[in-house]
Amino acid sequence: MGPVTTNPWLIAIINMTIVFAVLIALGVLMSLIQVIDPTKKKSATAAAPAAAPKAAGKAAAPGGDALIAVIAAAVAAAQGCSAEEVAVLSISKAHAWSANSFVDAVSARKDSFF
Amino acid sequence: MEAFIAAITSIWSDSGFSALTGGHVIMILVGLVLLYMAIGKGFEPLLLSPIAFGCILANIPKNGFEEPGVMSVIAYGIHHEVFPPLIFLGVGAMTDFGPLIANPKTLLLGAAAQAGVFVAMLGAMLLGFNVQEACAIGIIGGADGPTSIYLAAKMAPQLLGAIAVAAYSYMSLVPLIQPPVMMLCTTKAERQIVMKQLRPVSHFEKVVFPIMCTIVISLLLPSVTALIGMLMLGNLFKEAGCLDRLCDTAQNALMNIVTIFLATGTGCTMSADSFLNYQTILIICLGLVAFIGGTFAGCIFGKLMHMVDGVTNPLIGSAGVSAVPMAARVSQVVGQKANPSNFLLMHAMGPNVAGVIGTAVAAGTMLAMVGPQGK
Repeated sequence: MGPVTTNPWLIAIINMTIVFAVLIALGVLMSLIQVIDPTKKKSATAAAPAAAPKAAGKAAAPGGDALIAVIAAAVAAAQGCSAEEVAVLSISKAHAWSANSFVDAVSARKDSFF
Repeated sequence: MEAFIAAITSIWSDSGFSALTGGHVIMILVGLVLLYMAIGKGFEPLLLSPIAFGCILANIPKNGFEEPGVMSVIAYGIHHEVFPPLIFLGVGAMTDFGPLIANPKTLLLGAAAQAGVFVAMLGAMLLGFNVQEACAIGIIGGADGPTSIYLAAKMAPQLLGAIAVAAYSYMSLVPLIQPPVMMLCTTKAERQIVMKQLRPVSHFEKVVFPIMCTIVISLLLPSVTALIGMLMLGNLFKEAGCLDRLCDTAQNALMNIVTIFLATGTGCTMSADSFLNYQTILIICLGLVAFIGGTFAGCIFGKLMHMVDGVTNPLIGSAGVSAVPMAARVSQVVGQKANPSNFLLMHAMGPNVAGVIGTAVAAGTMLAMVGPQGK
């Protein structure tokens, strides 16, 4: 088959139209891929918990460090040792009310033993 | 004594000196000038050096390149479109389509810059080239060497040398050709525009993009399947994350080997009888027109885009003429001259790689409409 047309203007106009149409179609498909991207949610959820402790850490760090230092000093004073010798301060995962009852029970036992 | 004279005469008649013409001498000098530009001046030395050397080799009379051997294999690779797709494989493995995926509207800038192709094509037809030759000349404006060679081999093999040399020469001269046109098309305020950072592109998008592009463009324009397919296969090697060895080979070893063959073979098409004519001068001039036209159209479309969205720096439009990544670097340099805190490189890479796709689409459309030579 020979040339569809030899008119240069027509060739130029049709070509430019096709180039634009193809690239616009690619752009639309690219936007579509972005919308249907199944890894987007995963990465968003993976990024959120990673960001959350960072933020919480930032907010809690000064208070948390100071609190730990105070508690360590108190424990050391009570035990008659230096604060550096206090190795572990763990946070109870129990609810507040059970923690309170635990403290009460310890106090009651203390009262009964001493 | 007679035997001695006969031997000397035989050696002389067998030597290249006996068949050396003025044309050969001129082309050898052209090769030497190109070598000086490549090595002495640093203009695209990786491409221009083997082209220049090939030019010198092609103009050694009685070189026997027509007989079976390495040179005929290289010539086969040029004339049967073996090397351009292999170069595209390496280009794909080195190209990051991320900026384009992050900002798909820059595809329009890549499309607009193809106007240079059609300006040169119109000029070529007005100057008396036939429609196939005009299309092959026009594609110089795409600033894409492999596509120019691919199309020239199909549509105007007799002009292959001149077209390839024009395309690669102007690609090396992009930093000189583009800035004046960019300054002319834009105001200082426009050049100072700072574009906001691009969004991050997910691994999924980067992997799906080359597959989608291949299927869509190849189905629409099957004649450029080899070019687009290899470009996108190379990019898939890069983005897959599990094909690092193939990616490494495509972008280093294979790319270098094919560049040597392609560039030397291109130089070998510059023989005096096919290169030293009036048409070559016209092609060189039309190539310049094509580059200027493409840069101008890209910047003007960038201005239009700026009017619509208010955030696009029109300078990135000039990067729509492929020439990856030189045209994007030129946008960066011109933008930074206007505003030292302006970083346009990644933004300009969008239209830059869109230009590669756009040029391939333009070439495929021309092939579909006009057809290869002799058909």
